[in-house]
This record gives sequence, structure tokens and C-alpha cells, in this order.
Amino acid sequence: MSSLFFLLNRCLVTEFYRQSAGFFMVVLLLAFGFFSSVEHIALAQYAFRLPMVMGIYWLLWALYGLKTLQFIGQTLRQPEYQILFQLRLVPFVQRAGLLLGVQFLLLLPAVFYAIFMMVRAGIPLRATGGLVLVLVFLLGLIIAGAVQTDYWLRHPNARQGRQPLFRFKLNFRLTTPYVLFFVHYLLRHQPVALGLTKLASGLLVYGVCHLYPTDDYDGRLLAIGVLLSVAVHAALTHLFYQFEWEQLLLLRNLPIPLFNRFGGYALVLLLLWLPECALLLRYRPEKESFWLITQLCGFGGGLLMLMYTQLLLRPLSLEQLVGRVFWGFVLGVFIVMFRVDIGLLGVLAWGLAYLIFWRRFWRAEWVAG
Amino acid sequence: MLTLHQFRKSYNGIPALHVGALHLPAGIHWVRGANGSGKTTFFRSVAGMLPCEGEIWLEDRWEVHRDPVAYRLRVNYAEAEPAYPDFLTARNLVRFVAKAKQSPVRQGDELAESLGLTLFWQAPFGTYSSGMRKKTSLVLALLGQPRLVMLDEPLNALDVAATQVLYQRIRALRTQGVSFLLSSHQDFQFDQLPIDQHFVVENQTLRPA
Repeated sequence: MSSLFFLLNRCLVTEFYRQSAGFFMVVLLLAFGFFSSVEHIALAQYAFRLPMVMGIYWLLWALYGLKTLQFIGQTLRQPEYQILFQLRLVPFVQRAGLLLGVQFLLLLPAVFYAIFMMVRAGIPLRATGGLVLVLVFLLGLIIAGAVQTDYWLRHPNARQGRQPLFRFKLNFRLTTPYVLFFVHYLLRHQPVALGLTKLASGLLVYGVCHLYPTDDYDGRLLAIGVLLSVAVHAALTHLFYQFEWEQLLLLRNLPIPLFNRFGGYALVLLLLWLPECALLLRYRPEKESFWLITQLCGFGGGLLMLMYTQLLLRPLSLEQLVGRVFWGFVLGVFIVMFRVDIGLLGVLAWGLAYLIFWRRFWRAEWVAG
Repeated sequence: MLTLHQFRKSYNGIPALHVGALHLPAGIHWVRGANGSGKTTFFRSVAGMLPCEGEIWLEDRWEVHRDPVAYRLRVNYAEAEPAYPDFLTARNLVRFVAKAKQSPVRQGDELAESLGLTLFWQAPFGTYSSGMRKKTSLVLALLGQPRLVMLDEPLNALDVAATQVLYQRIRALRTQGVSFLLSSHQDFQFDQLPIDQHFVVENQTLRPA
């Protein structure tokens, strides 16, 4: 039993979380980047009071459940996972236990969130009916997932969409948008580089935001923090360039106008920059306005794009790029210290980045190694 | 169909390919050359994927540097050894490229079905066999309404059924005026296709055979 569970865990659970890393990052960014825990609790309290709000939670959990099922169906169609069909030889009770366990593990994010809701909102509100309904709904999701998986195991040649539980096609119309390609790649292949960069960069932003009230600082401290934080992204920017050349060379054969290409790259880099923006907003010193924080976020995004365009000027190794970034940082500190308006610096950074992009994109090369 | 003027491609300042002046008429052409002779470099440059010097004109109307969008809309390319992000599915890639190439509705689905790609439609590219990878790149190269399709070693790793489908597609598209540049380093590969002209890549240049 334990060896079978280990096999299922490796093939379905671990692999699901590994392949869905990009999805989870986006969900985490959306759910926890913009909402604080207080807001999550407030929403949960609404859910236990208003059935319609609870319905939205259920819909989201059900969609997530469908995503896990889509993954299982897709895995079972791959030749290297055909061994999983041997599970149909396992006695029903044992098989049911295994599949329920797998489905429970796949639904853990929803289960954890439901526990959070119940502990922080449902129980304090004494919403017994709501608590029972949440538990029943999650249990139903787990059982439905296990039943569907069992059907697939017993009908290896069944086409998706003709199942007893789900009459509609599990063929989601959503496809990974281009903007998420690189983030997906980082999460799958460079998690350490991504984690360390975001940790260092986030700590820098967090640090300057907390240093600010300790003395008579002004917005320039935050701007220097942004400069440092952007500089830390040199390795990720280099990886982005390398990724496009080595794995998405076909992009250069696509009829995409230059401005749209620039927009695409900008969105990818802004997505990476989003956590720092969230930190700046969240730990904004009281003395500083939201407008300044918005300008700082735009400034940081422009600097990231400017750093990327350095690679279009001529092929640079990571060491060479870091050298340029260092001198760029020194120059940036001087400019900031002279009290040049941050908004203006942001506009200049974006403008210069576009100019380089426009002149150099089609002439740029990548030299491996 | 394709005209090259003072075409030069270098890597790190080292010349890789030079074609003074060459005109390739409309048709199906076979570009031959030994491994490492520069076929892929030539194809990638013509596809607008690598920077190069000189001029590359398609049908005397669209030049690769002057009309980057209109030119790329009409020139498609399938890599000899396709490399795409391993987490993307064939469906994902096809939808993405089909949108950019302004493909007719369902063209990608039909191509994938005819080449036997739909079974792995939603599986990540990293799990594909070499044959499935090749099929994916071929589907991508046939999307849209190209005027020139370049297929680099198209039959490598392709099964017999898919090879026949590809031959049929090429013949059908040729009747619609689409030109093809096919490469192979083997002499027997395109026996079933009406090849119009042979070209050879050797000594860092491309010339009629």
C-alpha cells in the first residue's frame, strides 16, 4: 500500500505541484500580493454570512479541482505513465483509499484555505451551517476527483468528455499566455536563482522602507533602494535573454510589430517586478505619497527594461552585464542624489529602453557560453 | 520568389555564409549540404531569426529588414531539431503561433490531427519523442498563409504515415503557389516530391547544384 501511494505521490502529486509552479505563483501574487490577511478574514466573514460570496469560493475551488483532474487525465495519456493503469488490479477499497488520498493532497491548497476561513471566520461567527457546508463541499470535491480518476483507470481508452461525472470537455480553453512563459521556466528550472533574487530584492525594499522612519530621510532613499533592488535582477534578466534565444527562437520568425514585442518583454519584466511594487505599497513610509510609490514602481520597471536592452547592444556574459549594472548603479545614485524627479527618471528609463530596443532588436545576437 | 543581394552572415566576426546575388524561383527546392555546412544558418537568416547583412527579398515585395512584420507573415520555418520550452504543450505552441501568423480558424487543429499530433496535444513538450517534436515544428511551419515554407531536415524522426501526409500537404500547398525550401544531407529523401531545383551549401556559400 505504502509503495503504491509513494508511486502515485511521485507521479501525480509531486509532478502536479512542480508543473503548476507558475500557476501557484500567479495565484499567490494575486491573492496575497494585493490582499492582507485582515482582508482575507473580512472576505471569509462575508462568505459565512452571504451564500453568494461563499458560492464564489466554491466556484474557485471547483475550478481548481478541475485543474487537478485535467492534470491527472493528461498524465494518464502519456506513455511513460502507463504503469499507473496497473492500479485497476488493486482491490476496490484499497484503490479508493489511494485515490482519495491523492485527491486530498492535490486539493491541499483549497483545504488549507478552507481551514483558515473556518478557524478565523466560521468558528468565531458560530456559523455551524456554513462550516458543515464547507466541509461537505470539500469532501464532495475529493470524492468526485477520486471517482473520475478511478473511471479513467478502469477505461484506459475512454475519451475525455464522456465521463459519468463530467459530461463536458475537460479541455480548458485557457492556454499559458506568453507573459507567463519565462516565469514558468524560472519556477521549473531556475527556482534557486528566482528565489534568491526575489529574497534579496524584497529584503532591500523592505529594509529601506523600515530604515526610512529612523532618520530624516526622503524619497531618494527609496529610489536608491529601487536601484539596488533592480541591480539584483541582473541574473534573471540575463536568463530571460538566454531563454528566448535558446528555447523561443521562433519568436523572431513571428510577424509581431516591434512595439508589441517591446510591450511583451516589458510585461514579463513588470510581472517579475510586481512583488517589490507590492512591498513598496505595503510598507510605504507614512510621509510619502502613493504617487511617489507609483513613480518608484514605474522607475524600477523602466530600469529593468533598460538593463534588458543592454543585452541587445552586444552579446554580454552575465559577468559583463553585472559590470555594466554596477556602473549604471553608481551613475543612478549620483542622479538620484541630485534630486532629479523620480517620475522624470522613470520616463527617461522607459524612453531610452525603447530607443535601444527599436534600433537594436533585429540586430541582436546570442553567443552561447 | 526569393532574391538575395550581398547576403552575409558572420558569427563573432567570423564569416559563416556569403551569397553575392542569387534568385530562387517559385517552386520546391532542395538545399543540400554536409552537416555543419551552414544550411540551418541560411534558413534561420532567411526566416528572420538571425541578424544578417545584405538584402533578402520575398517575391520582390517584402524585404526582411525593411518589412519585418509583412515579411515574417509570409515566411515560415521548421527547425531541424526543434527546441521549445519543455512545459508548453503542442496546443499551447500552436495557438500562440497561429494567432501571430493570422491562421484561419481551426487550421492548427486540422494540421495537428492530420499529422497525428492530437494524442499529445495537451502533454508538455518535454515529454515528447523526437518524432512528436518534429511533428510539432512542422505544424507550426505550416500555419497561416505563407508564401515560403522552409523545412530543415523535415523527414528526420518522422514516421511513414506522417511523411506521406507531409508530402501531400507540400504538393497541395504548391498548387496554391506556396514555395518550399527543403534541406537534407541525404540524397534519397525527397524522391516523391516534384523538386524544381537543387542548391548546395558548401564553401560558405549557396549555389545552384
